[in-house]
Amino acid sequence: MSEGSPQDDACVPEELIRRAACDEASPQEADRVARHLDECEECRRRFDRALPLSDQVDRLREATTVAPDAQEQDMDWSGMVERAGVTVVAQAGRVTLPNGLVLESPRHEGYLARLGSFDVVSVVGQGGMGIVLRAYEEALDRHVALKVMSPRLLYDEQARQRFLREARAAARLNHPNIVTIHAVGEAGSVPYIAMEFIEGESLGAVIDREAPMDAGRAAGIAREMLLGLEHAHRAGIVHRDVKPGNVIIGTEGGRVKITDFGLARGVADAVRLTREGTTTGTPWYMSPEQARGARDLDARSDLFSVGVVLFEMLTGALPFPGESSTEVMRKIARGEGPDVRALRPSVPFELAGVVRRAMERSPRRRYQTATEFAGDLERFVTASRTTVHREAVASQGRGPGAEGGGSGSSGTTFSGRCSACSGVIVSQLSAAGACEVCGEPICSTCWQARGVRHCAEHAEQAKAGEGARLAERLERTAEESKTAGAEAAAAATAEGGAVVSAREARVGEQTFLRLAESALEGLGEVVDPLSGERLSVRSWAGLAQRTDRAAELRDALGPSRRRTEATDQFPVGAGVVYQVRRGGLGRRRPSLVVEARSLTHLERFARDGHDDAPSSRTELEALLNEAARAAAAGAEWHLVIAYSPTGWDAAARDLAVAGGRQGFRDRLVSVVLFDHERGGFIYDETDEKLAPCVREAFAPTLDRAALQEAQRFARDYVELHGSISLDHLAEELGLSRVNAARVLDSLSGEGGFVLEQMAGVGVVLYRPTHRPPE
Amino acid sequence: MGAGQHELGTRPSLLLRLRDPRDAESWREFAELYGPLVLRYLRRIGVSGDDAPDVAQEVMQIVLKQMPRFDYDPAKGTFRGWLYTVTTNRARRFFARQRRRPPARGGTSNVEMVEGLPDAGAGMEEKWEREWQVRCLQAAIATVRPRVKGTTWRAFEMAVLEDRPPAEVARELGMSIGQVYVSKSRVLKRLSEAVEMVTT
Repeated sequence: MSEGSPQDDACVPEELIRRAACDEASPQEADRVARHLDECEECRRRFDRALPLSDQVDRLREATTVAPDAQEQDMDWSGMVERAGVTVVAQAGRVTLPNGLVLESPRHEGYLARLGSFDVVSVVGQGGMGIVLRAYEEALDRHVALKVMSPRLLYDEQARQRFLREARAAARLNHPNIVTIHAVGEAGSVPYIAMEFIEGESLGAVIDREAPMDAGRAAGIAREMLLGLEHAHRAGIVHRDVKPGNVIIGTEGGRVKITDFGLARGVADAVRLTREGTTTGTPWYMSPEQARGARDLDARSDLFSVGVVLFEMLTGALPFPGESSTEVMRKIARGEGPDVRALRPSVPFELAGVVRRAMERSPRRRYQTATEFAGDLERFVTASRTTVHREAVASQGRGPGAEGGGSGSSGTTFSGRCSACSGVIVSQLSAAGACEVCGEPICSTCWQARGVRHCAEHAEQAKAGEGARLAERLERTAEESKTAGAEAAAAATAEGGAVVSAREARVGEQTFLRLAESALEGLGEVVDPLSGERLSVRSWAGLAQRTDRAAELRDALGPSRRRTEATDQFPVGAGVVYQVRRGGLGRRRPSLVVEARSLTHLERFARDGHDDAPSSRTELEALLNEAARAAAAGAEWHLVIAYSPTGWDAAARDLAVAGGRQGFRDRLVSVVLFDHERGGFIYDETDEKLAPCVREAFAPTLDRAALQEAQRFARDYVELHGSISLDHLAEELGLSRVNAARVLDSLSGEGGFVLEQMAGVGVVLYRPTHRPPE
Repeated sequence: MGAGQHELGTRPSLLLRLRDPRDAESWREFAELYGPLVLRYLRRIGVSGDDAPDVAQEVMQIVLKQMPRFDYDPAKGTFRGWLYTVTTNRARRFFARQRRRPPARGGTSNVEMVEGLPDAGAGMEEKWEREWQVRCLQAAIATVRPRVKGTTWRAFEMAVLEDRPPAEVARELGMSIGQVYVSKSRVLKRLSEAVEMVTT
């Protein structure tokens, strides 16, 4: 190595320099490089260029010189973590769980906390009643689900005794469809229930993901729930809080298990201490007698709740949605739920009948036992075999409801012929449906193209059945409307004017939020359970409108509430929330953006912190009106409406509804779709996705006679079923969706129009006919 | 140093650790790292000093809430990008509210309002990038510094941050020039790893 003048052959290899600069060389190599660098300036430069972060030296300098100022130091960032409740806080031999429950420190490394002889592994879930922990029981070498009473309820001796008593009663139950209780006890002063730990998810999560569900799968789940309930009812135990959140579907085998028997009562008691007559529990699944506040509930109340759950699985919607628990309970008490088939016409006729019977207002008219109810469901579990089979093929997985206990020969034979047209079904895959009376297969041509829902034999019978049902319904309505008014008034009085705080009421957040809602309907001073702030009615409402807060409320209120909100606020679309935002494509001109968001979108927007959008239909309409006025005055407006249609072929219709109402229809100049898959807007009108939208959007307007005929049909249909979907109307009368929307819109004053769930996003542009000079 | 290196190398990255909601330490680390970044950025883009902490707090609340659900798929966007989106949206909303305050909604004032919103393009993203880098480097320095031998750090500081000639550094610290270079690479390598740890 010659001094000072590096020679290429004397230099260490470039590759080694690079590795040494990245500190990836072996000690010997590094040493060699270091010795070489002592002498070789050229290689020092090479080395410098290869250093990590060599492009960020300026930033590094800044990073070492910028000190946090007073304001930054003032901020309590880590305190915020605790308030957000995302972690547990461990200190001084105690562990505080997110809901405020204090447990002992864990004995072993890797555990969260200790409760008696249980080593707590993690927090599984949290409800109004308590928190659910996953724990390990060393003595028996098993994992258990520990339900621990909420700290808010701990101070109430009566609620505590009730909790333990009910849990001990439920511990006697032993059935494959019921979550087994291993032990009930108190550790220190904390009452707990140790249950079998099931790897699975709640039915609520399944509904969120899959609903509307395949009829066979829904029936199978409901049937298993009923088998479990039958066992409990025979033992004299009424569940009182049957809801998707209390049903667990096992990951392995898909076994359906019900949990939390009788526990709802504990909470009810705690609340009654402060406000006599208050009804608690999730209102959406309550039976009418429960909604009225009856205390001596029997098995039939649970059966009603199963009916509601089944309704929800089949349609993805709740039969009794409402802005508040009072409204929900009022609707339940009146029995105003729609027919399953009005929301989802493809549900077998007879299955819809089963749901209707389960949800009869009067317990006497309902199924009297779970066995009876389960028996009626049994054949749907098997009758839907073609669908099950198709799904099994598609997913290479297990058929839903597969363990539904093979009953009857129809479960195994397959005719291979369409029961409607007698055509041969080439493979099982081409059978699209089944007769709604007998379950015989119907080929995809009949089912999809011709809309046939019955086999040749039962087609007449089905028609006759509908007529009879209409008559029966009208008769019943007349009888019931007399009592409904009085009941509703009573319910309103019981709920109105509540002044509560979570602490005073000693209830969980979920229950509290429901109470708070009720309170808002009356006078209401409300304490935010999360911050402890006292809220006026106005600020509470404002708070709920903020998206982050709304998300919080939604979380607290559970998944069902989310769907309810969507349906309630925006009668034009189940599962869709319309929001209006100012902004626009390209931003060249002032514009209004009106967006209809699916809940998925809403969640994404919440995640991204958008929340300046008005969120009610009224506000949306106000903005549309504003745009209409501006356009009429010749202002340089164009209106961009984005929305979530059912499918690409339906893309233009909801806008036609909104735009048509404001007289924008004439100004429709083009239709644009936003395609998430392709990640951009589609402008090309010949595009396969856009073309149907364009056809729809520019479909010629119905003439007067056709409109009147369609209105008549829709009215009759609504009379019969309670509501009609836009798809169904369009399909029945061969209308374009825009025209179908127009028909429904023309009737909208009469109420009751429901669209099916939407997905995807589309955009339609409207602008004034007389363009102002550029 | 060997121990330090090991410790750093085997620990899962910060965002991954946040998948466990019980990991209180990581959550705190997360909030303390990104909170000041958000605050500083907000002030830099013109949210007034009094309001910035409120807006920053809103941002962090959203982030803390949404974090357990954050999707780590880089194809769907980075955490950095997402945090930028949330922060910018909150800032927009803040500006919009400020504007809205005097006149109520309705009429032609909407037009002005839309026009007046700060646009994402105009240097905001650059400012964000810069604050982001600085903040992450600060965090990296705090992690790495205690794990590196005093003279190694000092050599890095003098040679890199103070940009002093290697020969001078070597003389002052009593090491060879080659060792100065080795020190630089040691520290920078650790720093770049540490940055990786907090951003992924």
